[in-house]
Amino acid sequence: MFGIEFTEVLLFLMQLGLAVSGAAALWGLVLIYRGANDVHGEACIVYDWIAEKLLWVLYGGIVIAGVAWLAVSATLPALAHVGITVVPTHAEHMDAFSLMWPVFALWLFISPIGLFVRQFRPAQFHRHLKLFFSVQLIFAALLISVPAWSGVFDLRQFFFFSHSFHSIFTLGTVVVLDVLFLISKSSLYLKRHIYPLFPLISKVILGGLTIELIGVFLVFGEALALTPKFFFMETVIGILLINGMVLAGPVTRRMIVAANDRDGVLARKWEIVGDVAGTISVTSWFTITFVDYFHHLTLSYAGMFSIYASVLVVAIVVHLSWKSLFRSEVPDAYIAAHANTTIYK
Amino acid sequence: MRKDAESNLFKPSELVIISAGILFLLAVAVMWVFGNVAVWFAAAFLYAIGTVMFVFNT
Repeated sequence: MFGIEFTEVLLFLMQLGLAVSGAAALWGLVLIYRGANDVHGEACIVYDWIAEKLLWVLYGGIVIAGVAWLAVSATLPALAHVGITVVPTHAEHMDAFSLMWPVFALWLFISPIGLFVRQFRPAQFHRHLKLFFSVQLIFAALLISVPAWSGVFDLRQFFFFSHSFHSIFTLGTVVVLDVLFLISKSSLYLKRHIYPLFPLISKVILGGLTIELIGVFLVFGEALALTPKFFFMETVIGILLINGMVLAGPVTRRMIVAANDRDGVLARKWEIVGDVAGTISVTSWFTITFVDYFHHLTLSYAGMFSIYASVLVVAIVVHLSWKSLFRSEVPDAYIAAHANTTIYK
Repeated sequence: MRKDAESNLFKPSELVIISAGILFLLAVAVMWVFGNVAVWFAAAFLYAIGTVMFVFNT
């Protein structure tokens, strides 16, 4: 349909899962370090509590990437039969798959062990949480860095790396940001700890886009083709930058002030702006990564933009509905119970 | 801090990146009509400047 191939869908899902799990590990690690700076205060417990919540995002990413990887494994022999008729990008994807499968298999093998230890030895797991996030980040970064293998370490290979790796900083981080934002909605305590992280997160997202642009410049002649798909992606980049600055600038500043000086509630106007801008951000990064994986798209610019706009409207409705459904406060007792079962045990 | 947060809508670095975003949109029109990528380069350059400003000034 629309020139989309099933293998491309699977490769996209692998990329999505790796980006999300890598970003969850990255920000889990950042939260643990933030907490460690205030070992005996509440900051430690709250940051720690939030970091543990990111475990579910991390495992969600692992499941998505793992299922997609197993599905690609099943289609690999069929692709190999196609031989030289396979377009080069597919061949390079499959070479990378063959190169990285032992790492992927090891990652899928050790990850459930972490979940098992967390379930039956929570205090022990917590003591090694920093190590756990570090190992997860290394695996995700390694696996996402080689989406395709050209056979040599040249500019083309660096482009493959930058074109894929940035997703941990962009798509994955935006997903984590949205999760943190939704978690924070339920408690003023959480808002005071999570909101000050947003400027740092914005810098990392911009840094991710910079990595991507550096890769494009290195193989400019080969990478730039004036197609409807390219025009569409540049349109979304433009929207992302404008929207991102609304979110990272005035909205974030107002959120931090509201959380610190008041009860954490924004003026209605700014609350809606924040919700809509946040949804545009995550939907747009998702769209760019998704569209990028399909090399033979037959959709016109208008077709792609119509689908993007429709998905955006649905996402905004879902986001606002989620917010209205999950307004219950997180009792402080939850955080205290977490501290009792992990830190002070 | 409250005054800063609630009086200034955008900081200079944010305005530069917003300008880059608008240039990217303009670049799409120019590339489509004229096939020229100069505006796209300008947008990327402006984005780089804005990002450096944003990272070090916020």
